[in-house]
Amino acid sequence: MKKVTRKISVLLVILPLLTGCWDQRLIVEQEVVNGLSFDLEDKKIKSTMVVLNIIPKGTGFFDFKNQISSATGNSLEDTYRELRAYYTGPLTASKSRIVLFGESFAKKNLDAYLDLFFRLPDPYLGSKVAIVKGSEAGELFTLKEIGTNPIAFGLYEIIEAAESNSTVPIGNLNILFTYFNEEGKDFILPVIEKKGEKVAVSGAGLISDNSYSGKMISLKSSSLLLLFMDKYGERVDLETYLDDKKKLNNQVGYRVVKAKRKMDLKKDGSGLPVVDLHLDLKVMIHQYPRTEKISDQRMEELETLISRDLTKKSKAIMKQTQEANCDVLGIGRKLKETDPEAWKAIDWREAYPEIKINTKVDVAIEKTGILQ
Amino acid sequence: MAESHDEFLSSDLTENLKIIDEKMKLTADLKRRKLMFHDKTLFILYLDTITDKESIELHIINPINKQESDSIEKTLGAIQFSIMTTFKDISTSLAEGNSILLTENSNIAYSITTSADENRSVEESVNEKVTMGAHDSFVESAATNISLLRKRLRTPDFKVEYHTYGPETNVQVAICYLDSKVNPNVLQSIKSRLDKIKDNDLLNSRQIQETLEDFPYSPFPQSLRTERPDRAVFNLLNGNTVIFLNHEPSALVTPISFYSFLRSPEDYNSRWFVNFFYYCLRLLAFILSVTLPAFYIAVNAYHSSILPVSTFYTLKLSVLNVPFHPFVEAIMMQIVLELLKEASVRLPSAVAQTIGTVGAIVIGSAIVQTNFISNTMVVVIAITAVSSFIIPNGEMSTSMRLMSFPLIFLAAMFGFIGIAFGLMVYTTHLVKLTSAGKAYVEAPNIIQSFFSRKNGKGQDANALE
Repeated sequence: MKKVTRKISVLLVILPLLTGCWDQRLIVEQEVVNGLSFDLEDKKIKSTMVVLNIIPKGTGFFDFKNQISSATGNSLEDTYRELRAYYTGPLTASKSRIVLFGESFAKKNLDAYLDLFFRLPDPYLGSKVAIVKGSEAGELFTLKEIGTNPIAFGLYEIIEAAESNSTVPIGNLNILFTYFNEEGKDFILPVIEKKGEKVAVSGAGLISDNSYSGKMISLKSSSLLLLFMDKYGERVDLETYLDDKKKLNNQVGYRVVKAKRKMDLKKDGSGLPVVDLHLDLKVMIHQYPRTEKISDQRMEELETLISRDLTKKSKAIMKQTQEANCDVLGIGRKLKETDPEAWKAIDWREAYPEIKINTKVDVAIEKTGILQ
Repeated sequence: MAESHDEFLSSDLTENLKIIDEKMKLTADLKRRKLMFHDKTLFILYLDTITDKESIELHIINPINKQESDSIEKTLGAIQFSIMTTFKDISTSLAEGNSILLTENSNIAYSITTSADENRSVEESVNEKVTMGAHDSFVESAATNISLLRKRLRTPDFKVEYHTYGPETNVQVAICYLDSKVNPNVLQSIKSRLDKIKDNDLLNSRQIQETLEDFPYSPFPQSLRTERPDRAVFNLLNGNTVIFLNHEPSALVTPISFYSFLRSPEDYNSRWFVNFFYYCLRLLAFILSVTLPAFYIAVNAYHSSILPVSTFYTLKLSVLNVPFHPFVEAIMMQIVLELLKEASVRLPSAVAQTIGTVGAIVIGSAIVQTNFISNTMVVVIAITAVSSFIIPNGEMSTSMRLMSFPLIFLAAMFGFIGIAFGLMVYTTHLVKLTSAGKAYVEAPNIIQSFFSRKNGKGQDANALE
């Protein structure tokens, strides 16, 4: 009995010593991937990876350096194997900030290529995703920093700012995953552009059937689209020309205080749905050509002016989404929910560009700022 | 069997004196004085070193010399005495500090209480200081200590029982309780356990603690040692038992619950929300001091994925040039801390300050500058130490700090899984633990009353005790 107890206690001591630590990954050894980008080059994938190295310079001071490497291959893992060879420690994507797609790569079927991110537990699903227009995506990483932020962090923050300015809806790898598996709803991704030594968000790229359609909603109109999507951010600022002349200092600027969207589906003779979109806005005037009191009568005039302008603009935007075949409002999903028979009867990818979308915007001015 | 024949006093005075001398092993401090009382020879024997000579003079010698009355009993009337007939009783009585009065042609002896009561006066407690509330504390005499309790509990319900343990030390143990509040079963078990120490030589309260403990190998103290009468009284009112060991300036409270160790006597003197805040703070401190270093190591070695990116880089920056595994770092730092603490406790207070400076400046900052231990590890260990120091009870505080070591080891081996496993073992142990038969950890009354609607109200007064 005593012998058995001794054997067991020896085992209890030895087992942890033999088996422990096998999955240890010390902070010191880890190479942290901050940004990833994917381009298409000669029908092969070119992955670029940026790793941020920090160099301590005495207590409290440090410098940083971006270590960039690229590799080409037929799949992500193919390139990843080569990339790993460039770095001194085990790579971890748990702190990745940004995933960039080159325009040509984005036109491929994205969900098939990003599968790696969703199957492994390591990658950070809060990473922002963006499409790079005009240049190779990997080229963006060659900029050392944006402002005072290292490049990957800077890109992350640029996109985050675009989200709160209602240019693009809030999105990251995690949200992307839910869209990939959603029938009858498409999504938009921020499009960024390198302008000289700077990087800026230039609009919202329309994704059709999990690949980039090549069309994009410009910076000016994307806020209105977001209002129709009911996914606007912290601030929505819009402006309207006071009359048809597009001259200097002739715009009224307003901030949306409250927005209410209504979507109604009806059926026309051929069985295709007709969509009525109604947007009810309460706004605050925050810019007017003259610093004076706006009379009640003028206010009413402004309300009808802005309503008409926004209705016109929204029609154009909806047209654009139809041209890109990007059902960003989720009309298909709504149809699937409310009328499953009709949904089964039509092929949505073919039907969406054909359907009629009526939009109407009603604006009520609630405040005129601190000036009465 | 000559010995047993000599057990009782004979009427031969010189023979009696001789036997007593032998019984006391001819010790040098045994003094005798010869007196005359109505033509009879009397001898007073006492141990010079522990008797109060003034009392002997005043209460024994003076009345006898005056020969006020015929009998000795009446002459000694004013002072407490008992009659003894065996040498064994006489020698024991002498050792306790009593004076023995032997008379000619008599086979009885009088034992008169004359022991010197040299006590420290009641002073402020050193180990359990408070800013608000009473400042008295127990001293090295059970009688004085009980008087401090009686002052606060003027009720006939308050009962004291004296027992003497240890054949060599003959030390008095006082068991105090409120008769109407104490659980008779618990009291019975305490008494039967104390009876077990009869064969040992009792000297410290630790020995009593040990016999009272249900689980002597547990790291948790299962009886509360306090220097403060108000705290003892509070526990008495809750139906607990207070045990004094004569010549020990602290009371042992048993049974006790785990939560009492997180209580400071000051709590009962402050407003409820202040009280509640500090109580929560101490609970947090308990959790921190046990798990924080282990958590840090697990994060550093296995689970850095859970860190936000900015925290990650701050951490990486601080550990970048440290050559040791975080486990080694933590053990090193813990040992340095224990060294400093132990050094400053043992040294006289003037030198202890120097140790504080050496610890903080020389070791603390130099160890970081030489890249032996990372900045963050120093912070983590410092927080752990400070958290354990805010626990009002010293025994519990040390236990907590030491309990972090197994967790540190498990965290270094298995990461969070190891910590979870370790905490599971700790929790199982805590739940199983009993103090004098009562559960050591239970759901606090506030939670119990929340779930049982019947006595939901009126129970919250001492909800957290």
